[in-house]
Amino acid sequence: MNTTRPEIGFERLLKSLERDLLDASDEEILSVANELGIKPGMKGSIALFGVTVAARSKNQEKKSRRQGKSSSDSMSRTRSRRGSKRDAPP
Amino acid sequence: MKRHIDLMTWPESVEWIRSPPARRALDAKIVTGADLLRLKVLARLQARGLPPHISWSDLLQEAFARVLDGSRRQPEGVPVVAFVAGVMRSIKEQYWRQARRGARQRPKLLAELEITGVEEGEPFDPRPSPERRAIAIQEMEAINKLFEDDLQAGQIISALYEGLTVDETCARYAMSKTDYDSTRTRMRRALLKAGLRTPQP
Repeated sequence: MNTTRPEIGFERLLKSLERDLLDASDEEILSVANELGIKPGMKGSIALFGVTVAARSKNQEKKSRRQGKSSSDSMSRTRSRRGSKRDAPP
Repeated sequence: MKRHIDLMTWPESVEWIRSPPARRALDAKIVTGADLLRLKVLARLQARGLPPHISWSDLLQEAFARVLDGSRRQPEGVPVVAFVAGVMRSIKEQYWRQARRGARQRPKLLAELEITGVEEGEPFDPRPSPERRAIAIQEMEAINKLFEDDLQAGQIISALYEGLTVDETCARYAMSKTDYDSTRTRMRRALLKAGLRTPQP
């Protein structure tokens, strides 16, 4: 019977998979990107959406301004407070 | 509260942020474009262990914000990608620790988390958390689905989850070391594909 606590097992798995990704060569990453039709070197490429170009909902910004200075200060550290783990199209 | 871009009014409802911390790190030549691609995949993987209102981009940008403001310092000999990945892991653990402490308060933003464990990172919080457990179960299903057509990958996923060594995994599933290695390579490629694809499967 498997008695591993889900959160512990899951984090253990993530750590192992993270190790695999750290071991991948740049060539392998670029080859996968190429396979997907992603061109990281191209201006406006979707490859780095959420990384070098992030997006913020204007409504969200208005709301956070209303919440006062302390809140907007904390927002200012990271300017990509966006939706779910899934991407929105650029 | 789930923040999202309203696609009905997109792009008018969206403000593009041209210099988030990761961009500034690229401009300062702290990382390369290839590093950022790898970190994007790593952030997507790590964010699977966080609630849905925190996106992978939040996690990545927060890690870079801490690197740029000097609250996290890269130890000598540690490659930058491994270092930033460690910062993301550490932020995630801080989030869960403080979520436990502030369970009755409003949810915190990543940028509001206290900065602790500056050099050594944040160890895994061993105390049970129902929310974290629910997310882990849900995301395990998503990862299993990613490898549903690959029996050996599924076996290795189970083994890693249980913390088995390579030898124990090979013995349990009657797998040769060569099969094990080639399956890990396939898994890595599948993860890269999933991590680079938009939207993420």
